[in-house]
Amino acid sequence: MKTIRSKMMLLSILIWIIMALIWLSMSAFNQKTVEQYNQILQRYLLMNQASQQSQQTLTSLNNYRITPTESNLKLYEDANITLHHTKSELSWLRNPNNEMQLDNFQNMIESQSEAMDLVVRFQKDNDEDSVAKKFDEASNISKYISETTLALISGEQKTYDTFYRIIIKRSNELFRMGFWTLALVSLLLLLFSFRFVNSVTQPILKLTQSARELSRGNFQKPIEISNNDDMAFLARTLDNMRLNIGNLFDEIQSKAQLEYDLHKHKLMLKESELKSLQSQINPHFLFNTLNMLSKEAFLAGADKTSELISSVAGMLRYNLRRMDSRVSLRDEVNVLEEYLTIQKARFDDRLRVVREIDEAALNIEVPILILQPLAENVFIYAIEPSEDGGTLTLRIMQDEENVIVQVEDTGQGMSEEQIEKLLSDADTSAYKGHSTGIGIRNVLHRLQLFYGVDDIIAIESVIGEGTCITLKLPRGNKR
Amino acid sequence: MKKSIFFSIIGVSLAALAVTLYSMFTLYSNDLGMSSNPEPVMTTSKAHIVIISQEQGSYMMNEIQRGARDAAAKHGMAIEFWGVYRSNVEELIKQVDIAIASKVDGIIIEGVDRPDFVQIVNKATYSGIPVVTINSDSPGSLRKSYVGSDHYQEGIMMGRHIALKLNGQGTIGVITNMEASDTDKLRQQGLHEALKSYPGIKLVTASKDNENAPANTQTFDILNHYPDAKAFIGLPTESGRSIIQAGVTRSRTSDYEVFMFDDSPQTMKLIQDRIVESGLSQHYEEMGKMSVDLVQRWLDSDHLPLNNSYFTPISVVDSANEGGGE
Repeated sequence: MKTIRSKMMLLSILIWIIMALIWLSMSAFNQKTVEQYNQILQRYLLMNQASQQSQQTLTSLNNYRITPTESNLKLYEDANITLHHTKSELSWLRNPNNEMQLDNFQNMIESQSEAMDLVVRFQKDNDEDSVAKKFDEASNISKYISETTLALISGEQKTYDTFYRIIIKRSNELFRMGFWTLALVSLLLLLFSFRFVNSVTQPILKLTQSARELSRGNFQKPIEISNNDDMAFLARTLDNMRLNIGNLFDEIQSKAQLEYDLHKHKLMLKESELKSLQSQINPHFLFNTLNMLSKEAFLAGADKTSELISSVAGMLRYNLRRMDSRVSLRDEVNVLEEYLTIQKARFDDRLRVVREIDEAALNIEVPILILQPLAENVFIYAIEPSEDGGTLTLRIMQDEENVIVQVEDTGQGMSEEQIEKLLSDADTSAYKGHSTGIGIRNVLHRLQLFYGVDDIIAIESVIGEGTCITLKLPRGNKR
Repeated sequence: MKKSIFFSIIGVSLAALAVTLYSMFTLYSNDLGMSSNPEPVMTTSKAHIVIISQEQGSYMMNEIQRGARDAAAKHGMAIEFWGVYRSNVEELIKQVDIAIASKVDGIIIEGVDRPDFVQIVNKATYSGIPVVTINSDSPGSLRKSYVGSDHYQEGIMMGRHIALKLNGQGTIGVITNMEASDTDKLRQQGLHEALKSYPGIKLVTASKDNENAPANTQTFDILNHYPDAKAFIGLPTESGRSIIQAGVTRSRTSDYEVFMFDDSPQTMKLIQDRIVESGLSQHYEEMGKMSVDLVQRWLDSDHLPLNNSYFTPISVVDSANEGGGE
């Protein structure tokens, strides 16, 4: 895996190599030019040197002529040897253009040297005349030498004219090349930097976008980075984090749903308890009074009245139980019988009751007060409004898993909307004439909570023919 | 958008690369040219001679140089051309001295008949350097030989020619060089000698005041003194135009004839246009050639001794045989 660090190192090395190459080539060029310059300078210097030494030798000879001592002679001889040395060095300057001039130059030095040697010899012989003559000659030749030096130098300039021009041109070209190289390097670096920066920033941009998505709560979009460096690692880690957070989030959501349901259940229980408490206004007093009235009626021989009052008292006692207690379905059916007795007394012939009860199914445990509200519904909506009364059919059956309770009437039926309304949460205050204050919706919810199953109640209704409410109570898995 | 920028950068950098490589290539190839500098040439034992002229760049000298260069090339000699301007004898002598100091193998020089010149020529000879005079002689010196036309003979030839042209009658003005020279003297002597036999012809020169004046002043002077001058002889090379100009400015139709002692291109042009009557051809190129040959002979010790002088042919040039020679 290439890391960002290695990429940066690569870029730096690349820059370094390019710079080094440029520097090397430039300095190689410069080195060559400098060497050429040096050569030219050396040529000039050598020419000048010859001329100067010719003068110097002459001066030392003059010293010797004026004061002919051994030390002065020695000085002159040294100067002469140096002059000879320079003369042989001059051959190095030879080229086709200055060949003859250089020959002359060297010969002149030789002539001067010869003339000067003669001066020394005549000086030793004390031949003053000849000394003066030869010295003048040597001095003249020395003058010619310096003139010829000038001529040589100007010839040199002519010979190397093209060369000098080439050097000038070359320095211009070097400048131009430098410019272009700079342009090239700049562009290359731009290119490489562009690529490099892109390879670093592109993933960062992607990561930023992904992080923004995550912060918005969108955990669905996967994070993908095709790079092969630190960024890819970062991206993978972030992707894992995204998945984990998403899972946790889902879990928390389902838990919250559960909590909500539980809370609702509790609220509902409270509500029914409140309702029942409201109806408990002096329940014992009422209950005792009713019992006492039943005895009085029995003693007065009004058996029927006594029986009715006894039913009312029994129903009342049943209804006064705690709402979260459990009863068997048999108890429910018994209380329903008491209720039906009272209603029979009220509606007389208009009420017909059909019972189709499977005794074996009556041992199932159910929440309290589920049948009575259903029956009350039948009275309120089907039997009371009808002049002819109606038939209430109670069926209790069982199959493999469920106990099925059906309450059917022969009323005018309900439309779909009415059924919806009945089952929906809205309109909670509409408990029209219920003795317990408990509506069908309350029954449904309590059943759902009790069994932990949603699908418990089914209402079938045909307008003008009747309604059938079916409860499907699971046998095995009650809570 | 980004892509296009990217590709354009790539394109530009490729172009820059191409230009850089190109200039690098040119620089390196230039370099190769430079390293082949004039390499030091090793000493060759070629004979080395010098031609010293009195009038550098003149027509005469150019002709001599041409001939000498050819001859030197033939003999495998190295030859140098030195010289002074306006016949500066001091400078001339100095140059000979330099040549001696330079230990050249031979000196060819336009001679001057002057003691100091003779002295320096003698010095060269003592130093073992052969000296050959060319075109003008220095008879008193120890020169090895003289190469050139016989100026006395020139005078005679021209004198006869003029006498023929003028039918032996009339005054003739002689225009001399500003610097009196042996050549002029010899020519004038020849002229006098040739015209001696024609009593009708009178040779005149400018008066003493104007003796060394430019050609046109001399012409004026002669015309002032001798208005009936029928002809002029120009000794200085290329003085023909000045002589004719002088007549024109005096609003006289040039009814005099002009004779010249040279055949330089200017003179030849004037002869062609029939403004100048005739000139004299001296065959300078051959002079140069012959002088180099003589030095070579001396160096080779071939057919010694050399003659005292070697005369080159001379011939009259006029419009009839212009551009010709002999």
